[in-house]
Parts: sequence; C-alpha cells; structure tokens
Amino acid sequence: MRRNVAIIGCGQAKHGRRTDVNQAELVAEAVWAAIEDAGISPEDVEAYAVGNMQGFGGIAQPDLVFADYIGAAGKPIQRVATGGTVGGSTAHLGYYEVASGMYDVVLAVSWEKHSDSAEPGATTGLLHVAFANLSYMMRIGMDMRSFAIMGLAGAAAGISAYQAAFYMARSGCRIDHFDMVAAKARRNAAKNRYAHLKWPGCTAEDIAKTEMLIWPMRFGHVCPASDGASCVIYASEDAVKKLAVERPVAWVKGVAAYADEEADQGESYQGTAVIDYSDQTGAILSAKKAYERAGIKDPRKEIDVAEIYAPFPHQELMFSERLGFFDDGTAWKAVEEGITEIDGDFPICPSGGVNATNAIGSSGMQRVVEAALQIMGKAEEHQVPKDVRNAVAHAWGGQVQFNTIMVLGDKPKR
Amino acid sequence: MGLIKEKYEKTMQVEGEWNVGAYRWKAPAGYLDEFVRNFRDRKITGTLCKECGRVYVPPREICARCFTEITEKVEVSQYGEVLAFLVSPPLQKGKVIIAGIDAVEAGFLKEGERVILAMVRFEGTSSSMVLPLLNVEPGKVRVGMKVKAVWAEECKGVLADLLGVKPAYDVRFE
Ligand SMILES: [Zn+2]
Repeated sequence: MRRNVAIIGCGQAKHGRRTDVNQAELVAEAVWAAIEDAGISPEDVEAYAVGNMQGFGGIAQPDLVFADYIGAAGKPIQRVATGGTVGGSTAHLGYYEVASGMYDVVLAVSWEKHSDSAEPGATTGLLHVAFANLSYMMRIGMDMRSFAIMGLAGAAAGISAYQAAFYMARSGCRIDHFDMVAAKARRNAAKNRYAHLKWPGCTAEDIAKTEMLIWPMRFGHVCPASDGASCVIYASEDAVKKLAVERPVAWVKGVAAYADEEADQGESYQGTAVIDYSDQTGAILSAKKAYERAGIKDPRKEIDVAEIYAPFPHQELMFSERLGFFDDGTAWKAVEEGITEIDGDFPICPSGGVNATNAIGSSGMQRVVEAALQIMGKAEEHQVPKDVRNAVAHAWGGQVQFNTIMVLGDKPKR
Repeated sequence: MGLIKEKYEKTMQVEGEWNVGAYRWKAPAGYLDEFVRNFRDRKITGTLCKECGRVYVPPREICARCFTEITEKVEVSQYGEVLAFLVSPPLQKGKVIIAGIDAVEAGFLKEGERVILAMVRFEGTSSSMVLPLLNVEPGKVRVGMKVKAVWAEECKGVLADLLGVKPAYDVRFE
C-alpha cells in the first residue's frame, strides 16, 4: 500500500548562462535552497535521487563530482538519465522511494549545464542520441545531400517542427497562435526571478518579427539552452508532521509515466505506426492514469494551474489538450481568449515554462517545483491570483514519446 | 556555497576531438537491407503485421502495437499523401553546418535552394517516411496533397535511390 507523500521544500538555481559556477556549485545552489525552504538540515535527508542527461554538459558521471557538495556522500543515491523527461522521471523516483516506505525523507535534484558544451547539446549530447541511427542510415546508403537535409530539420527541434505542422493541420490553428504562446512565456518569465528569457510586455507581434527558421517555426518560438538545477524534498506523512511544522506543503496525489511508439521512422530506420506526431498517446495515457490515481474526474474543473513541458509553443497547445484541459484541436481558442494567462481562468506555465527556460535535466523537475510553489502560495510575482488546490506537472522526452505526469494538491489523498 | 566560483570568470573549456569510431552498434540485420536492395528495381516494400493488419514502411520486424514478429513482406504503392511538411528558408553559406561541414559550401545543398521536407504516407501503409518534396513551390504544398515517388536515374539498391516525392498530378484519388 503506497503512503501519502508531500513536497516539503523546493529549490531552484538561477537559470540562464551560468559561467560563474561549475556543475557541482550549480546543483548545490538548488539543493541548499530546497533544504533551507524545507527548514530541515542535510542530516535529515535519508536518500538522494539525481538526474542529468549524460553528454549534454560534457560530463558522463556527474554524480561523482558533486556528492559531497549536496551532502550525498555516504548516503543512498540513484541517478536517472532519460533525456527530456530526466527531471520528471527523477521527481517520480524520489516520490516512489518515499511512497514505497523505503525512506521517509528523500531529496530529488536534476540539472543541466549546457554552457559547458561548445554547441549546447548539439555536439555532445545529440551525438549520443542520433549518431547510431545516422551511421546506420549511412551504411544502407544515405547520401550526403540527405544527411544535410536531415541536419536542416535538426534533432529535437526538427521533430517538434513536424509536430507543429501536424498540430496545425489537425487543429486548424495558425502560426500567430504560436506567437501568442511564445510571447506569453516571455512575459511570464519576466515575473520569475529564476527564468532565463525574460521579456516584459512581449507581444505576439514582437515574436512574429523574428526570423522563420524552418516553416512553421520561428526563432522566437525556440527555447533557449539554459544552465540550471531544480530540487524538491519529499517527506512521508509522518515525517511531514515531524519536520514541516506550520510550513505549507504540496501533496503528491497521482503520478504516471507512459511511452508511445517512437515517432520519426523509429529507431534505426524502422517504420512506426505513429503517423501524427501530435497524437501523443503516451501523454493521454499518463494523464488518465495520474488523474485516476489522484481521484480527479474532470481535469478542466478540478485542476487550477498546469506546468506543461513545452520547449516549443505548439506543445503547450497540444499537451493542454492531451492532458484533458481543452477538447482536441481547441486550445488555441483558449489562448485567443486569454484563458491560459497568469490571471486567466486556466493558467498554463505561469513561470514562463520551458519555452523561456530550458536546462534540459532541470526542466522536468522545474515543472514539479513550479506546480508545488503554486500550491504552497510561494510563487511570488508569478503566483496565480486564485486558490490553487490541484496543480499538474508534465514532462516529455525521448523522441517526444515518453511522458511523465505528477498531480499535486493542497491536501493529502484520502 | 561558492567555494570555488570566485576563481573563475567563465567555465573552463578544453579543446579536443572525439573519435566516434570507438562505438560499435548492432543494427537490425536483414529486412532493412532487403528494403533498400529492392530500391534497385524501384520497388517500395514494407512488412505486414498479420495480427493488426498494419503495413510498415520502412519495414519493422516486430509490430510495436501487437508485439508480434512480422514475417509477411508486401510491395506498396508508389503513390502517397503528405501528412505534414517543413519548409527551409533560402539556404545560405555558413547557415547549415552539419558535423562541422558547411553543407552549402560543400555542395550537398544549393545556395538559395528552399528544401521542403514532407512526412509521406504511401497508399495502403500505416506508417510514414520523411522525404524531400520535389518539383513544387513551397506556397503550393498542402497537407493531404497526393504525391509520387521520385527515383534516381540509375538505382543502385541504396537509400539514396529514393530521391523524394513529387506532386502526383497524373492520378486522381476519390
Ligand atoms: Zn500488429
């Protein structure tokens, strides 16, 4: 029988280009902020869950260099490396460890330091991801022109650009809706002291003026490559009583993670039955299961704010539908009506989201942190101006086929 | 906190190269080789899952939905439809750097060329392929547009034989 678990403390490093710190110091910044926020001492932490995508920051075994910086030396530790979902999966791992009864207090931290790589993600990390496929395609006779054309559409951004095209065809939305979502991300980020791309008063017209990289994606639609770390501290219900006296906490009510088939021809040029990248069966299944576990029947009514993993603006629209907040193909209408603004009826990514701040490993965890802060009422300037009883944190990774969902609430599940 | 950071103005960089030849990957053997070998005869072959009826192009040896082994091979149509597409801006030197090579400078792509990439579903298949869309103005491309395979003049049984697709004006679909 699983136990009730709460997030009793959250911490984030300032995200952006952080050449003033090394990876260990960056991670420590988030960890110490969370320990302080939880009002506990490092001795209270029984185990650590850490997450980072190997190669993106040029270090293959990062947990080896910072254990002593975060008080993990000599304690149980597990590392997760699942691409974009790193932060989401690490958050889940920390939760499982407490929910299972294994430990009472667990610290989960994940991060990425893109500036340690010459071309953020591209030369180091993405080679790990894509090189096996590409070299196989070369072996079966791909020519240099095709290789160059594949490079044009480029990795994650490429898959996302196809996905944006699919979503437009499916929903009937236009590029100016992507402009609106990206502008909202920059505006919201301006209110978040941990965010990267801040642009107070940014408008859809401002975004529309940016260069078209590859139709339908503009420069202004693309997330930055940030450095950053995010951390949460979990406690069992008993430990909450003992440790978190009078402090607001956020209860984990339901989690789920599902995978769908890999899009884009699959691994090593195998076919895939995913013929619409905006379908997102994995996200639909994750949301359904997490809501079921959380006892949520009508997500649109019962959830008050959502942090969606959306490095590209169409993903905020697409996932907000797959997560059950809007009907299929209608999220852009909600954006037109201002429903997803901070002060709207259903705020999405009030923190500015991944579109404004993307330190890959940190991003999934940051959604959890931001959802928890909204519940605790500690989101400062970007706190949504309404009662937050339930919040959702989402992450995707891989070839947009892995999804994680965490539903947080102000009260434990009974 | 901040024990060391005062010492550095920026993160340390170490110049160097990686020998990616150090990796050894095991790629699925057999059915994909046959797939590209058939390109020599300008044939597109897929695999048919007898459980769910899906036809995979490129072929798969295991159906991802049924988790069963696929043994049946089928030839599919040269005609298909555009499911989604991307359009590049006019290409310039210095803009498309792939694995350290300037693709325009090296002549793989043409200066000023606009590449259209389409997700194509060949008729009767349940999957899609990314292929260049040729012989059409970017403004005229539509989702659902009917297209047809374009082959190299001399096909050698390699992936590069299938140059892409072009609008199929010569057939009508109901
Ligand atoms: Zn099947």
